[in-house]
Amino acid sequence: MKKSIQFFFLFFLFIVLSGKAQSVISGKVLDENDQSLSGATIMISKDSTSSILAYGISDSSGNFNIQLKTNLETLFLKISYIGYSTRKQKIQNKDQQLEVQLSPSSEELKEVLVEARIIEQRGDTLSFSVSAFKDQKDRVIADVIRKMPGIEILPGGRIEYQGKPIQKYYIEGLDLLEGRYSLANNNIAADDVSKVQILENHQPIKLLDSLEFSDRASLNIKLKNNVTTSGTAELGTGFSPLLWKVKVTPMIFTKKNQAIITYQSNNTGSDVSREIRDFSISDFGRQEFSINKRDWLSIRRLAEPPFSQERWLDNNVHLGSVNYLIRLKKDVDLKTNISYLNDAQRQIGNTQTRFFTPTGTIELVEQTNNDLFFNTLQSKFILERNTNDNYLKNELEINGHWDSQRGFIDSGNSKILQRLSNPFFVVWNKLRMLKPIGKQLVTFRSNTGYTEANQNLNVNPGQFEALLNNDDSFSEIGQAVNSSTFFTDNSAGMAKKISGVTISPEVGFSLQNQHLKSRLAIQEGTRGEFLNGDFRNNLDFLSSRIYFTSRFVYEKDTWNFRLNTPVNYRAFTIEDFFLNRSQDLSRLTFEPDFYIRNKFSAFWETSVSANYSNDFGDVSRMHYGFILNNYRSLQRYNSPLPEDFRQRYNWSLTYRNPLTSFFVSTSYSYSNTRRNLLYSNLIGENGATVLEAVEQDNNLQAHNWNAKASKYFSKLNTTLSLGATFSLFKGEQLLNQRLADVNNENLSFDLKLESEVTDWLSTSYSGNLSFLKTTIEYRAINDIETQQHSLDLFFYLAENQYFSINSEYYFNNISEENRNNYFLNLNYQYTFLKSGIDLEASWNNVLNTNEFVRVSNNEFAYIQSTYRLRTSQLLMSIKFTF
Amino acid sequence: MKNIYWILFIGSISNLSFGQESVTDNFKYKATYELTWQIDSTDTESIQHETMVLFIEDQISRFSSEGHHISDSIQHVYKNRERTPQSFSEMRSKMPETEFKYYIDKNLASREQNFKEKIVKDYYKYAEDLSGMEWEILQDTGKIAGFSVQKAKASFAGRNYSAWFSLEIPIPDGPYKFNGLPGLILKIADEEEYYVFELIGFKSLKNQIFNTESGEEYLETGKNKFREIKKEYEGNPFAALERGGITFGFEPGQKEKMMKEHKLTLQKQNNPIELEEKR
Repeated sequence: MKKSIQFFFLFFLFIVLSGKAQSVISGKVLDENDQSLSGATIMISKDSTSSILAYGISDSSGNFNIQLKTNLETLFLKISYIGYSTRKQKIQNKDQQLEVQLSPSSEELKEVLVEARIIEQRGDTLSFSVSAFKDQKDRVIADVIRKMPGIEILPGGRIEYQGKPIQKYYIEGLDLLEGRYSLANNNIAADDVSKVQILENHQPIKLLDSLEFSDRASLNIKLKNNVTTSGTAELGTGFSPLLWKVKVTPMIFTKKNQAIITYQSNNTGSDVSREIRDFSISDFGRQEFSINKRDWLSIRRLAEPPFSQERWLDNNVHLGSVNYLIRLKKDVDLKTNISYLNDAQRQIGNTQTRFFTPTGTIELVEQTNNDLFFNTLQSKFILERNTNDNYLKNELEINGHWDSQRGFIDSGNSKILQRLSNPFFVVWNKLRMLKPIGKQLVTFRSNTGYTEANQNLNVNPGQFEALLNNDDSFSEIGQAVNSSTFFTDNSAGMAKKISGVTISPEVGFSLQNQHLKSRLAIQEGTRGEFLNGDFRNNLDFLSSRIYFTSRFVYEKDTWNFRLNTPVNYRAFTIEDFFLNRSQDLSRLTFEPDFYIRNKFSAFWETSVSANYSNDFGDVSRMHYGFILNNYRSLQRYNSPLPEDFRQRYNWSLTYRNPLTSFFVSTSYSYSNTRRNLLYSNLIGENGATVLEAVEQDNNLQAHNWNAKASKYFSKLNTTLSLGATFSLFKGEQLLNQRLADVNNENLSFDLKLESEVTDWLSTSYSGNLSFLKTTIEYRAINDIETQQHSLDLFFYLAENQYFSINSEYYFNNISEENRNNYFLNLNYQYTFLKSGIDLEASWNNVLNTNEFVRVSNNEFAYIQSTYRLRTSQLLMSIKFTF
Repeated sequence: MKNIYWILFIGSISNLSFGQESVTDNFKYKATYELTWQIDSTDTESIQHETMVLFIEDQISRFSSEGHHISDSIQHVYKNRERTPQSFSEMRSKMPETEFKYYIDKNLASREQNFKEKIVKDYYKYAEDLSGMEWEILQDTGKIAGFSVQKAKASFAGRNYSAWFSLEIPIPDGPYKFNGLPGLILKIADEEEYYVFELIGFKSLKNQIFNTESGEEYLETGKNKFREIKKEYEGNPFAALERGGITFGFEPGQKEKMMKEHKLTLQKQNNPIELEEKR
């Protein structure tokens, strides 16, 4: 301030010397209470009607300072402030200090009217309008959706928004496909869609809307027309051998009826089942009975390569699916989804297993040749009523699997044939109902179902001769398993908000009755014999649970708290009439779960969680007699019911600075599981394993740490990401009757670079280096080192064509041959701009690499599996919408 | 010793985020301007119009596009409503389109103005001194929307402007960042008339208006840094989104193709209101 005054004086002197009169008028503006007024305007003019000569605006302490150069004798001063009467006065033209007090005025300012403007409809937005995102290459809506900010379509087809799976996939507000939305997503023509809407924090149940906050988003496809008939078709062929690929998906959408039908067939390794995969989100934290197919018996399979199955899967698949929705009346929908899949797959390769036993190393080589046949019929009927005061959803699902497998193994000195029939059936009904009772909203849930698996495994020649046939060889062994499960779970719960805390108590009762019957038979020539004693099961396993659980959620400012407090009373009755064994158990358990998150600044966020849980085994981990699970594994659990008590803690910290485009996050978790059973493995000279449970308390400990960082370099148009993870697993094992501590350590590093080199070339590189180290108390085992690198180059030849090169390299230090695996694929696409037809040519496995080798480990073995890949082949396809 | 710096660092960040001033919703006056601008200096076909609003309280004011103000108000209302696909599309259909998604909050008492804009999911702001404009009052007078006005001249951010202000509204404020005349600026245009703001309405507010101030923490940055971030975003929105923790599942080449188209659009947007200052 002082400086400016000095400056003023200098300035003033200068002006005086230059010949014109210069004066400084300064002062202070006050309101009626002698408080300073800032922002008042002070104008100086010749008289009341002439224009302004000079002006000032009062500062935060009400002061003003105006310099003017004029030869006038007197000046007209006008001081105004909005809402106050204007002060006008005449002053002398000389340096002076003024104090001006203004008084409030009720005089209103003149108004001018604005004509009300018609609000424009929201047009294309970056995030939601299809046309903004669609380019000529895009055919189906998935092509467009995956470009939208925040939306990610995972390789399996699941859609995530902001990293969380979406809750619903609506078409015109109707939920035709439930979780199997890939079918719509991959087949609705992008041209038929006007908008894709993301419904953030969407609560699909209208009744719950104001009560229960949802942090999930849903997606709605808005079509251009009221009645849309559309579809996509893809035809492809190639060699060698002769390849085909057919996909036809017609569909129709009206306001009340929606249907999507699809038929797909190929022998190119394309996975068609991904389109009918279910991505429904089951209710959070809810223990549900699994209706997934469960196989008791298996043939030895080969570990599948980690890359796209089009490069290794030898298949011959047919899929038909019909999905139909009808809106019966307002807010009541009936949905039917029926699909049938038939697939024949072939796997060829070998597995080398190196077992580390206390007395030495056992090497086992298995040349494997498998044929797998799948026959699956799935049907689902859903009735849903969703109004503002009522919600009901009943789902009935009936699935049948008629699967069979055939496997041939050559292990050098023996040739083994395995034949498996592994059908599975399930009927399941799920009801969810919301009803207001008094002022309270109560949720009723009822889950009831039945599953059945009658499976058979036959192996020639017979195995486990010592155990089963007094060391005499025999021609065939047969295992039959008949298992069935009935379950029901019924509960009532509600949600209430009390001073900011949402409390959701729930009570329920569940019952599960499992029955297991199994027999093992050996056959020599025409003479067959069922084995008795420890080789059969006739088990009834009844478990019941009464539970009371409360969930507390509190969110305020930057804090987020969540607490679950389930109390369970469980009772088990297990009885095998035939073996004359039984046990009863009842337990009262408390299994709390706690989570806190705090965003403690604009850049930092941290969270802590802790939980404690008890797990009890079911019939698959509790049967008194042996079952031959595969040709070289016999298992039984002639022990008390398994009880695991697990504690788990997790901490994470994230720093994200958008100003510098720099992100770092780290997290650590620790878990400790106390178990009452130890599993004993008895490995024979030929790798045949007998697994039994032994009653002995033991602990499993796991530590996991990971860190990630990424930085964008704007000058280079490049994003660099680095990551590291470390995990440590400690436990005890009983191998060939010797107890030992086992440590598994895994350390891995990731590097990723993505760069836009020029307008016509973009490139990305990713690399992974990982070390696996197993330490068994009595011996040291070599570390496994694996590497994985991939480099992709993308060229824009012209607006309607592109060309890409994908290359990959895999390395492991264990294999004696084939340590290095190289792959190269080329892809070219041409689009006919006018007709919108895509032509695609791909040359997969250019180097004709015929095998892929990967190495993994478990507590006592290295497993090196080699998988025969599809040969180098060329595929041409044409894709169009109709 | 290191720890101390660490704590200081964290402390300064939290200060930064809690130090934001709150704009009240008790605005007394609303001035409405029509903005006419030409985004591509080489193409007169690119002239566009948009309605802008200036809300004025005693010491503070908030300037934004009308569309942006309405969109934010609608979102505030729908925040507490039921979220069904229908209500969502209803909301989105009510939300007007706007080309300008910033707010300019001026504080006459502290002589400071804050430019606030959300990019992807981060809220940025930068502060500038209000006294930066040096006006030369001219003798030309006239009438705009019924108010007597006088002309003044100043240059700002690489352009020379002529403004018409009215002593009848003794508020030293104006559209965009323009301020500092002894009356409200009713019209302002640069020499080339690439950007023209003209008053189309002025009224006293009888009822409260929505406080569109978001509860979010603003990342405080400098003007140059903000322009850099914005430029980066406009240059490659996908990279910016990815850096914001939003991931894309592009098919190979999809992104690159979109970028190509995007660059063409960018070439046509060559005429921002504030030109790069030549130093």
